[in-house]
Amino acid sequence: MIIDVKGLYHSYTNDDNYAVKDVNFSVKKGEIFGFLGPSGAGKSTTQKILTGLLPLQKGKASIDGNNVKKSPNRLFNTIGVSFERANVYKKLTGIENLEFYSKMFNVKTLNPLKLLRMVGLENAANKRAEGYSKGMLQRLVFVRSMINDPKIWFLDEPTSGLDPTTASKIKEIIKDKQRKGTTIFLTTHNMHIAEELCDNIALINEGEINLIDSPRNLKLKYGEKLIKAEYKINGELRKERFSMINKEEIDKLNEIIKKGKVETLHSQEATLEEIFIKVTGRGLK
Amino acid sequence: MPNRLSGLLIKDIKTSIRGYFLLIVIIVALLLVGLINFVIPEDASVEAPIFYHLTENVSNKQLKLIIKDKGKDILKSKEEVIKKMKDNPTSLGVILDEVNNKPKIEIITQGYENQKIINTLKLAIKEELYFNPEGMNNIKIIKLKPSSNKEKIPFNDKIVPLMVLLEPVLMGFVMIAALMFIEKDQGTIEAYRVSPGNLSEYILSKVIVMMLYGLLSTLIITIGTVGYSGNIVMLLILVSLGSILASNVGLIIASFFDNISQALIPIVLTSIVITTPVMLAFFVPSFSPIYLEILPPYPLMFAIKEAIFPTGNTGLLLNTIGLFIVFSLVSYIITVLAYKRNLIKE
Ligand SMILES: Nc1ncnc2c1ncn2[C@@H]1O[C@H](COP(=O)(O)OP(=O)(O)OP(=O)(O)O)[C@@H](O)[C@H]1O
Ligand SMILES: [Mg+2]
Repeated sequence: MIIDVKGLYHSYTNDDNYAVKDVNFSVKKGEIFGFLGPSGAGKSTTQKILTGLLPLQKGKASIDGNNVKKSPNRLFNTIGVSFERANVYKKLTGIENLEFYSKMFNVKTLNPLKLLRMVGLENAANKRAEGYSKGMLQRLVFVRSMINDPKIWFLDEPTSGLDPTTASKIKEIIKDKQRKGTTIFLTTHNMHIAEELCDNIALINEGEINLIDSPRNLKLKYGEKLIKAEYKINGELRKERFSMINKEEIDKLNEIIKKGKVETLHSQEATLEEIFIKVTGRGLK
Repeated sequence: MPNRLSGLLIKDIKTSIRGYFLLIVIIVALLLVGLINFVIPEDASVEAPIFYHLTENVSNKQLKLIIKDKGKDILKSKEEVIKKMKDNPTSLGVILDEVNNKPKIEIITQGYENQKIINTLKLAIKEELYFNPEGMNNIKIIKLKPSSNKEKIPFNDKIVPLMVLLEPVLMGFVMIAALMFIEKDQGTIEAYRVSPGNLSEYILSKVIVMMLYGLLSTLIITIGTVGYSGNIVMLLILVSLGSILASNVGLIIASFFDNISQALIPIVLTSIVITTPVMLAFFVPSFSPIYLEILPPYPLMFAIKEAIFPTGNTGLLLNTIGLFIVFSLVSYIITVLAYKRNLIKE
């Protein structure tokens, strides 16, 4: 396993108010592993612990066989990290930011201009980052994270806030990297991204992972067992979806059927968001 | 590693220039040059007025001659001398008396004069009494600031070492902390922390950039005032070391705070606490409390003075350089450790 996490806890306040609680997962080489969860779920916290930006307080985590607690600096030659925050030098141009960052590595790095071109920033290459829009900054942070052609790539919300065209460009780049063997850990609160890109998804809420599986399995397990019913109650037509894994909901549907109030019944494939709601009891927003 | 440090240096130089740091350094240096050349007078030696009182017992001619042209400074009683002295904090009093035909001279001081001044006064009176041929005497004005330099340096130029000392300290202190907080604010330090670079190079680069600014302002100040004179190489070495120490201390203080607005007051306060005694000691030679000796800027000031106005005291230069190499290294190590602790905590 290229990333291995066991019993990870983290408290920003150093008490038992945990931002992540008993997190366990492992990522296989070459896989895209997604953390799907709403804001404040603990996605960025987990990524920061793994990349050494936050101390490992409790639990075990290793990357490529190195304990993250004392991972050597040179390990970062093979790791790429993209941040949810656009943390670039505002006084430097796009290309200067990349040129600077490329010098920090001991390994061969990719051509800065080529990287900018990949995300449509070639025309802003010589413009100071202080003049970039939010989306441009995000693309800059994204390409910066791949400058050392990483073997393991951490992406925190790589597409949030981007227009659909740019987002799909980013998705293509991510898929392409995976084809070339890169292992990718990404966080998102967007179910479409998770579904489209990830080999495995951890559903995380309030610091805890509720479930880890592939999008396909999640749908097979939960999607087929979802039934959409239209029924009348007090003369009013209602639409509702019932999970066939939740006993209460099964009972409720049975009740409605027994009373003969049902108008239509369809089995339906659940979206990941619906599955998320079923599993964690809350939505992704 | 050399590639990385050069990358860091280019980045720090570019960001600081674009953040107007260079401009500020040049403007402040030029302001100081203007101040020294045009505002501060060439002669600012403080004259110590001396008030005299001659008792009725005096018959000795020599004694009378001492006060021959003192006019309004001759007062009627000892009490009056003391009263006048209270109004004038730099003045001294001399009471001329005679006991058994022998002159008895009493010198009244304010209490904070240093021994050197009192000795000078004593010597001058003795000279008058015993060595001056009758009729030819004229008492020299006793200056509170007797110059120890052999050749006379104009007062405004004498202040150059002080400026060269204080400018990098005060500016470097604040500027390096500002540079660090810009990185914290922008989060760029986090991006650096997930690269193979280590903290020591990252800090070193900033310290070097501040040192370059310190050297630049030193060159502007010295060349703009006293010209290309003295031992420039020694001067630059001294300023570099002083700047390294100042930057590190600034960074260490900054490491205790989360943002520049929190850190600014402690940093400015520290720089005032460190530099005010040194400035006082420069302007008021009689001010020399023991703790001054342990403030690094104090010996550095003398070494900088020696480098700009050499008197041949190479030992002083070399000792100070040795001392500051140790200071720089130790402070650098503490800085790196302080930031390791500070960043881990986040
Ligand atoms: N620096 C911090 N200090 C204190 N608490 C923090 C800090 N950063 C995050 N938290 C808290 O930790 C919890 C998890 O935050 P985290 O940033 O990991 O969430 P996230 O899943 O990345 O959310 P988002 O989708 O908004 O990025 C939240 O309750 C958040 O308020
Ligand atoms: Mg986050």
